[in-house]
Amino acid sequence: MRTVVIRETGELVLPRETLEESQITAGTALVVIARAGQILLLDRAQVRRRVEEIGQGMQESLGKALGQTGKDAIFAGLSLDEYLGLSEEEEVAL
Amino acid sequence: MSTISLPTSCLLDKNVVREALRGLVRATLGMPLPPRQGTSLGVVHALIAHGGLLYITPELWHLLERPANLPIASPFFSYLRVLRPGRYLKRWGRRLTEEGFSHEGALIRSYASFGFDALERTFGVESVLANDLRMQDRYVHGFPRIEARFARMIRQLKAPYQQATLPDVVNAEELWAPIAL
Repeated sequence: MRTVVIRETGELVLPRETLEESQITAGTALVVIARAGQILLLDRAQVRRRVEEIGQGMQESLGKALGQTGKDAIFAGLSLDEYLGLSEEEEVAL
Repeated sequence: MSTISLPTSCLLDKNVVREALRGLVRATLGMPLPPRQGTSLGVVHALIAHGGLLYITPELWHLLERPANLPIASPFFSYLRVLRPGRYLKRWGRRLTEEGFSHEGALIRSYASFGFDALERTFGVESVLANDLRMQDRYVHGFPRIEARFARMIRQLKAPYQQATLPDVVNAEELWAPIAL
């Protein structure tokens, strides 16, 4: 475990070893995620994977829900085909 | 090193949720997504991946959790939080209505300033994500007057509501540009 100290300006200098291990090089754009007192730094490829995983998770969840309820009444009493066939105006009205 | 800045808390308008849900159904069935559905769904996924807190209003939550809507809405639930009506929500909503917003448009913008997150013990959000461009245009053009009125109102409020803020109002297309990987 390595310790770093945040500068007065808010800058953070990461140790060379940390950068090498995580394959982060100068100029790499990082996404800073701060949540619940923790900070996570991710590069774009890692964020892309998270996006894909979240999308897949939602699709699996919806697939299961459709499997359980059938396709006869999936939204507001409409069947899957009826729901997909709604125009934007019809859906807004719904 | 550069950083990418996205809203850390975002209130989703119902039209964004509607388009994202429809996009999710199409994606699950392997169907092509119309552009707006794809963008709305992509932005929702990306905001979650970036650690953003996604909120909806209680009114929309109650709509989505109806048994008839649950099969499609349920995949979203674990990622959504509900903003509860906080103090001064109605008062600011009334003033926004006087600025020409519909009741619904005023309410969602008022939630964005005074809606309460019971888990985080915070109120308000950084951005409202809405695809209603006409409403967004009204907000942007009226902003100096709205901002002045908001400042006058919160000056008179008790702490911590004097720190209330007005949200940015963004549409999915605008957020998609910096998110697109």
